[in-house]
Amino acid sequence: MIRLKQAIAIVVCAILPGLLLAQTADERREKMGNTIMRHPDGRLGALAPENLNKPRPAAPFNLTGTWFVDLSEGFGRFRFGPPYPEFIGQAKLDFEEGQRAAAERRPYRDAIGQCFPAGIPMIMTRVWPIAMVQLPTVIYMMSNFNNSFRQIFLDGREYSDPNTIIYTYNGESIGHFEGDTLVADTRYIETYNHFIDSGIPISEEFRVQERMRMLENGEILEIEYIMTDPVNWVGEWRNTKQWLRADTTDIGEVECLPDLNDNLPSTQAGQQGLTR
Amino acid sequence: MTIKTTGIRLLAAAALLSMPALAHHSTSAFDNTKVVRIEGTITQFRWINPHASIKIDGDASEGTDGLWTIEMTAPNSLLLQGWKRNSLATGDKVVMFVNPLKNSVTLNDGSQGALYVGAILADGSKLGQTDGTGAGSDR
Repeated sequence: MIRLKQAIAIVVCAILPGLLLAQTADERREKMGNTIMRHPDGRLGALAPENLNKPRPAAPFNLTGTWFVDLSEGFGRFRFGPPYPEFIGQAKLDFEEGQRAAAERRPYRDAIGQCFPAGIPMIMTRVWPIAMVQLPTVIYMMSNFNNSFRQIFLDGREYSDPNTIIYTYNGESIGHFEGDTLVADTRYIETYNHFIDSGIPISEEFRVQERMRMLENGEILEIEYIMTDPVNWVGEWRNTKQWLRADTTDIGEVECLPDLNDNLPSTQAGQQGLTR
Repeated sequence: MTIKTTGIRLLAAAALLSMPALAHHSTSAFDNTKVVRIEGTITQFRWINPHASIKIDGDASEGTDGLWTIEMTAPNSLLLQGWKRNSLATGDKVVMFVNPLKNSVTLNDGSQGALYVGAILADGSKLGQTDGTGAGSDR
């Protein structure tokens, strides 16, 4: 009798895992319900094979590679001005205070130093390499600076519903090609302690258009920035940047640790002026 | 190469060296016209992204003797200057050259703050600028 029970137990142990394995991926996804996230409108993800394999015209260029912002004309080129647009309201006062602080060489709104994300557009000109991977449906950009992540969707999707989107420091970017230019428009950008250059604020109406071209047989990436924010400045704020291929490096891992600033005197001196 | 060309190149090089630095934050808080020499003992060396840093307890040529926290640039950039993860160890007797904070702020741990310019390590080897001049770079 005991031997029979042992035999049954052995058979059950041997069969059960097999029964579990017999469940299909669809069945397991169904069992997990909302644990697996999905787009509220049911659209395909950019990496879904069904999306990747849709027939599309070939992209005019592929910017896959590691890039480094071109500062050969001066380190100050990481900034997006001058020239600056006509600032208005609080932004005008903030800009003037930033200019005074720069002249006096004192920190002003050192949000990035306090581990707030640089956000678009400043993340693009940190003095760190950026890895870019272009697929038919999406371009991934990973800055080595705090491994900040951007994605520019190329799969023809619409912007997310403004009432379900989660605002982020790099926003939601959707791109399309116009001839040899990739035009990426970004919106839904988080404003909390998110500044451009020396403390210039942005509002929820902030929009960025990037017009990307490849020059010199793909050795140079050029992006013209056209930024609008009717709350903070008049008209378009334009600035063109270039990046150089950096084939002898890779991006690494960079974290802004909770105690990082204990060891960085400049950040302790730059805590003033942030929204708390 | 003509004298004029050489001059232009030297001017360009000087302009590049005097660029303000920024990677994780602004370094405008440091007085890059002043170099302080600190001779003392290493109490901490962090070789980590985005910035390496040093704590040294010693005698300063200017300012307060005692503990100093020295901010450095990214390890990847320091590697190109000859620094390695094992360049410093706790207890090493070294000489550091730094740009102090413009406004003498006492940091959270009671130390004085500064930006790395150069170092004479325990074995006598030199890294960075050790002639008492120079502006640190935090990029």
